[in-house]
Amino acid sequence: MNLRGDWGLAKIGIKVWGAYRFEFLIALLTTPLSLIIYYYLWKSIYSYMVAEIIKGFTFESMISYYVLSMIVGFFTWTEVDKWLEQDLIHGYMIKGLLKPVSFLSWYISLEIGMNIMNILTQMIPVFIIGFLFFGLKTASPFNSIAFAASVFFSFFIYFGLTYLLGLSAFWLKRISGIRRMRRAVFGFFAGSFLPLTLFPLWAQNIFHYLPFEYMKFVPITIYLELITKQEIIKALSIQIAWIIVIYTIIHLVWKQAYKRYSSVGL
Amino acid sequence: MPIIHVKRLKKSFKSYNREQWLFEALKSLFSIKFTINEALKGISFEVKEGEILGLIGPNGAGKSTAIKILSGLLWPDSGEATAMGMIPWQNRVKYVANIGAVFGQKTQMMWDLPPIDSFYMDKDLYSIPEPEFTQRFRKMTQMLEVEEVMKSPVRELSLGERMRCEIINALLHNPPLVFLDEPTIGLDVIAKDKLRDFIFDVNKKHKTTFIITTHDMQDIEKLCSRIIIINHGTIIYDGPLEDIKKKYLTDKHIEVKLSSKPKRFAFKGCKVLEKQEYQMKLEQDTTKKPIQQLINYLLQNFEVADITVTNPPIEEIIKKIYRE
Repeated sequence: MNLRGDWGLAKIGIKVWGAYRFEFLIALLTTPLSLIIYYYLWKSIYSYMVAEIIKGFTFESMISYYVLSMIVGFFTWTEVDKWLEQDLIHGYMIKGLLKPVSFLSWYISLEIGMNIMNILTQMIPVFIIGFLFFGLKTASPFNSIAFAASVFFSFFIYFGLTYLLGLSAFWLKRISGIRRMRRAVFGFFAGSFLPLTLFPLWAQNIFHYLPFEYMKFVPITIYLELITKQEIIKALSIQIAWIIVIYTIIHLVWKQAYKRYSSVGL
Repeated sequence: MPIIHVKRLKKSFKSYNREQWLFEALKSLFSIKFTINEALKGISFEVKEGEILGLIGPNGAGKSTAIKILSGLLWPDSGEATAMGMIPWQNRVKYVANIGAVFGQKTQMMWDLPPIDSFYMDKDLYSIPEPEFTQRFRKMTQMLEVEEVMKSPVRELSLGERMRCEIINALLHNPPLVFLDEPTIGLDVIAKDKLRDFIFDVNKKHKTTFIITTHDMQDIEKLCSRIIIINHGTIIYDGPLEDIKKKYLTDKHIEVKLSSKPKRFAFKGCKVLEKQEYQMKLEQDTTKKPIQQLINYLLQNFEVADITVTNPPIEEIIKKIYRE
């Protein structure tokens, strides 16, 4: 570990963010728009069903779910698979390979730098928008802390899986199809479009054995106090277990990818 | 003391054959044909500490592959290589902290940020102490005259400015071993000179070992004490530049501008390549008669306005060596 180096890279990530700030700020403008769509969609569903509670969600907590989904999304969002693909195709992999840091550190530290800016410019404003206009409530101190920890772990799971798929570029070169599929699968199974409790029970049982719900759905349920303290502790431990599994696989795949790098000719 | 040992290093690349026809493209979904291209066929050499070694050869000869293996970017198929006691591709992270590298065509700085940001990143990555960093940074930007572009994004720099920044980027952490892959490619004469002077200066002061690939004969003559010529993945010459010059640079090209029309003349070992009204291009075989005598002869017998003597390009020397 080279903490000073990692911080140096994170600072570069912050500066890269600055170079592309408009692109990021546009996301801040479009997010409330999709919140409005979800708001009216669910409003009509609730009034049609004449129901107070659907699968454990009141209308207010349903809207809060989407607000929190955006917030967690800003924190975990990464396009490291795109970076890997581009760097490989254009031959810029040497940039990271020539620096005295592990290949994973190079990308993860840059991403952390960029995410620090995302927290300041997107996550916090959306929190405020949520409190002011969408009836988001504050969580209890315990749940708030657990939520923060869980989102933090979510980032590493999301990043790790994306990175792992990105490494496939060493074999496949162009992975834009895989990337598109990745985004759809992650979004669906992590609960970005629908709370996972709306699915049939057998499906939910399968989800528990996949890493996806730990990237978004789990931290949201912690914040909304939909699960008990014991369940929270269990969820956090499973997140840590997934992180260990994913980064071990990354370590093994990277060894092969590094050797592979040479046989394609660059 | 040798800083690099290379023994029987081999490396081949697979390249996939793609046909231009649509039907072939469909077929390639099921079976892909590839050819194996041997980039290095078992080369061996050593490099002494503080040396400036020129690695030359035609395009696709294997120079870049050798440099990439030695900088930890590629794994060889077989053979050994150690530099500063480390195997570059085995302990990459530790190894690259001790080298610097420039690959002419690929920037290593952050494209959308000014060079200064990349330099500060290196300061953290290589843990360069503050006073050393500031001192080196000031000196290098001054010597290479890039102080003014430090704050403009890399993508807006001219090629010459970028290459000079690239060199600084590779040398800020004061590595004992530096690889430069075509550092003067596409630069104008002035920029080339600045760069060469700078490299020479660093080599003298810090005893930094440089390995340089280039197509520019001037780079080699000004910098390298020793050269290795690679062709088709094998070393065809390894030794001091002077030897090559004595042995193969026996022909000189002479361009003479005259203020009167040239008459016919005969001089031992001299061939007329081109003759115009007030101008001649000659080639002198210096093993038959030295160049000074030809110049004297010309000055005595013609009204000479201008005279320039040049060496034939490096490609011709390689051709000659290869023919033997």
